[in-house]
Amino acid sequence: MSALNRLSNWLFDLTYAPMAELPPWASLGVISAVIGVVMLLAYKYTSWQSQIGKARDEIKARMLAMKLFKDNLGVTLSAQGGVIWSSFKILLLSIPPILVAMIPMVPLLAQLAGRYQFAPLPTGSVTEVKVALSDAFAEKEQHGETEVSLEATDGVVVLDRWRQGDSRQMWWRVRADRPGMHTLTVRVGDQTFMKQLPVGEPGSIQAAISPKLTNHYTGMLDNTMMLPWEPAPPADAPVRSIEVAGLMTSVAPDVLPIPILGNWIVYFLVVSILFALLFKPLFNVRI
Amino acid sequence: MNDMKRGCGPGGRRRRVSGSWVVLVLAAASLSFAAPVSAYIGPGAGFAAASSAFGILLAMFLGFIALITAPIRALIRFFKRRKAHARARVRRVIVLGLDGMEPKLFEQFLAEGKLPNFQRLMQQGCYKRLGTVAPPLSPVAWSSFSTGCNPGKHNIFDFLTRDRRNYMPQMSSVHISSHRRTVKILGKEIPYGAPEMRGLRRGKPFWTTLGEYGIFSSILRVPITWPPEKHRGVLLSAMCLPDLRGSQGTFSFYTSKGKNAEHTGGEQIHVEVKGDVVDSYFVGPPGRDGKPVRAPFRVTIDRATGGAKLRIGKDTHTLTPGKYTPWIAVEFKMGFRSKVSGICEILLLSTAPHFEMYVTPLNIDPDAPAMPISHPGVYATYLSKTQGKFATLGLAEDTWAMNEKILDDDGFLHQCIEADHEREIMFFDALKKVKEGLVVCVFDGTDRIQHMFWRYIDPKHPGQKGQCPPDRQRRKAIEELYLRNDKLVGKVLDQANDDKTLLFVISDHGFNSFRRGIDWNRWLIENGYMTLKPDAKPGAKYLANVDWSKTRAYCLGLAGVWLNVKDRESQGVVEPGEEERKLREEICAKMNELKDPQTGEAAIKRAMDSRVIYRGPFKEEAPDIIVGYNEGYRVSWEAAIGDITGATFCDNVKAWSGDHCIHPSLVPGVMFCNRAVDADAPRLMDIGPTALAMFGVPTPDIMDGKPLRVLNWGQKIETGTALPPQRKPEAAAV
Repeated sequence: MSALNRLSNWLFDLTYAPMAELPPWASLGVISAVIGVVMLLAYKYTSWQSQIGKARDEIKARMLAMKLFKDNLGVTLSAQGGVIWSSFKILLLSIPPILVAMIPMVPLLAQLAGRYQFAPLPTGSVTEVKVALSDAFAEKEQHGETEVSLEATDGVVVLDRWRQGDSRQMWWRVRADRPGMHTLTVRVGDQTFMKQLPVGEPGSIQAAISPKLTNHYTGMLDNTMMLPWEPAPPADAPVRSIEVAGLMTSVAPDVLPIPILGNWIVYFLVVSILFALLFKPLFNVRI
Repeated sequence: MNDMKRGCGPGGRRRRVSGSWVVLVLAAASLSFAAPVSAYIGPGAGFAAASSAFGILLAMFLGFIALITAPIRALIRFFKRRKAHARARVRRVIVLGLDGMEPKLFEQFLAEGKLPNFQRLMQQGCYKRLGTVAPPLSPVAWSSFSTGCNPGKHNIFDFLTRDRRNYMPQMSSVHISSHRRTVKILGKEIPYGAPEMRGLRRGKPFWTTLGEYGIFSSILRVPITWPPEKHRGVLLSAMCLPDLRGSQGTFSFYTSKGKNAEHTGGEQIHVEVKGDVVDSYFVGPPGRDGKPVRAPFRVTIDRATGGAKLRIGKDTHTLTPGKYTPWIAVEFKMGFRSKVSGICEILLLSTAPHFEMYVTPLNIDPDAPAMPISHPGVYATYLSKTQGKFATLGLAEDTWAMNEKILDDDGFLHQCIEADHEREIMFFDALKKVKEGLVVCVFDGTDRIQHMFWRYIDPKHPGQKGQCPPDRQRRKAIEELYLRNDKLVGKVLDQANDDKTLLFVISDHGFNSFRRGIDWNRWLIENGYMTLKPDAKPGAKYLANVDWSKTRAYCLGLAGVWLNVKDRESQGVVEPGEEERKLREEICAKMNELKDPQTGEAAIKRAMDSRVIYRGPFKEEAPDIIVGYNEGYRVSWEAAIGDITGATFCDNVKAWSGDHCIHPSLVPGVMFCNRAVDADAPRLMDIGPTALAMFGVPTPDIMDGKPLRVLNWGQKIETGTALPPQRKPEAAAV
């Protein structure tokens, strides 16, 4: 999987490079448009177009039947049932292209999330870093058998440490003094685990950003695939996760003042669907 | 006919569908095992999923609205129908029209025991010969059926009429003007809006009257219903509905053998075969510059199979010799972001030694009609979405291509059978949808097949030989047609087998042989009624050679002869009034004496003065003399379009060998009913008033037709018999 992630990172970095200088809303707009058109074509060639067309025709015919023969309640109800059935057929017919589209879309979305979902920590701000230990090491640490510490590269100052709630979790407060990509190092005994911490203005860091690093597998996609740019701790590592608070942001709230479009995934959805619909007649795709 | 069948039969479709379910089930299963993904999965799939959900929600919403408004709508219907409701004797009236079904042939096949379903219908109800109108032509007869009036009230007397200004032929049922309104922008005239299309049939169809009483009607392919008129119900237009080019059907014949040429009803386009490739074009409607818009295509011949691939736009279609393609959509770009769509079927005739390909007239695409072809406009789209594309051209079966020997028997028969099959699907859909109200559907196959295959049942017909090779001849086409109709009647009868439904099976006229043509213009010249210009050129159409200053009468169209009346025709010479009346009588008398020199038979049963036989405000629009031909005779092909030949009589050697444009008493139609009808001589124009009466609606005063006395379900006429009466009813209007 790590090889696939490396390939995914390399491919995305290569594609993203020409747009690195663009504002986020513009680069994401271009990417969304291209993905919209490419996925439209992928849908065309991986779906059963004739059957989708037939089901669409059935829906339209039944909708028109409701309009034309509205005096006949039997026709209306039967047409209504027919519309539901045909819609369900389209839903089923969409499954094969969904399965195919998932293969490129999942790593692609992971990469996009890394670029657009989070912004660096503002310079001078103070935030919290949460480290979750495995059960075994948490017990050792409580009995004083193992020492856990947090270090940071120059430009980030570790202020203090505390515990609250779950005994397996440890909290640090850090202050971001200087812009740049910094590294937080969690030391557990003689083992070290690193987490990147970006500091600076939004868009100033040309690298993927994630707030959390975890080996807590709830599914393969949650971690290994969805966070491909930072190596996760191994499954048996004493550290389960390292999480930095305060990194959430949106793609371009200033440029797109519509609240919901400020969310990168919504923005991506709208732009990609818009372009897919624009190109639909050109490529003669039935969706 | 097996090799003529289209590629996708029902069996094939069933197999594909079952395959689709295997894939769908596997896909569903695989998805259910996949890890949950809260990710967006691509615009296509995402949109499909979202729109499916939307479709379901919308259907439920509409269903809910329909449910809660149903009582209100039922109440409105009740108030509209209350006047008629108490008197209504049925919930539904079905009229199945079999255009041109001939009583004598029917009786012959019935006697031979070949028509069990007709027999069943007769036993259950009745069979009678049905009086038609003068002249017994489909546009005239079906207009009388629709309006319940004689032609003097509905204004349709023929397929053609003449333009009084220039003696040119024009459609009798519709006026189409190519002129569009314009607006001047920066000194340029910019056209906008649609060309004017105005129906010329007058009178009110009986289904419009029914609608005024809240009764729904579904009217399918009744001739002379274009442009479609509003009424309470749905309607699909038929005869006189043009093709995409605005003509009554222009086929295209592509050949590497001959040059560009004109055929009657079509055109021949020369193509060159370069290697294995043929590049040519479909001819579309006129563009802004008045020239026809073209849609290029490429045919790539496969020498190994003898077949070919046709590429038009982004689509590729397989052409197999001797096998029609399904309907193919052809788009014509009319300007920026403006296009119109037509549909055609293609028949590859040969690839070697010469490339030959036949293309049907470009029908208006019912999916996205370029002009209104139905009421409401979306009804055609509904039908197209329900059953696939279908022929929309008024005269969908290409009789001209067969007359011109481009199509052989099989090629033509395929069109008739397919058109009737398409009609059958929409008819049964209407029967399913309309449980209360009127359903009328007219099938044209009976008319077209008898027109083109009569030569096989008439041993005396001059067109017996030479139409197509013996192995391609379909000598039993007419018998097979009646057998197919019998099956159709059986299926309808199964749906009308109750006391709440009245079923009529009718034809607008019968049929007879067309052996000899009469050139009335030559006859008028020989009898001193017409004079040609001194410099007359042979073969000139549309009466171009006539010296109007010395001409008192002329022939144009199928129905009869016009007088050249002063102040009516632009160069009229006959004084209106007494002179006009006397001339009509004189010509009628002479026509009645006309004998065929070849056979010695009387060619005319009775020539009729239209001012005498018609009543109503439009009788002045009729040809002055309606010619009632004897059996075997009709106006010649040339005279019908104003071409003047060298002899009055000529043999008809075309495939179009049967006709009905003779004296109406010789070609009555048929009438079957699933109840006994107490009427000695029912007429076509009585059917509408009868339907009105069965719904409890009074007959409008303007109608000439009278309600027939329809007995109750299961009741029999005491002195009646199920056997057909042999009396030939005279035409109502004669």
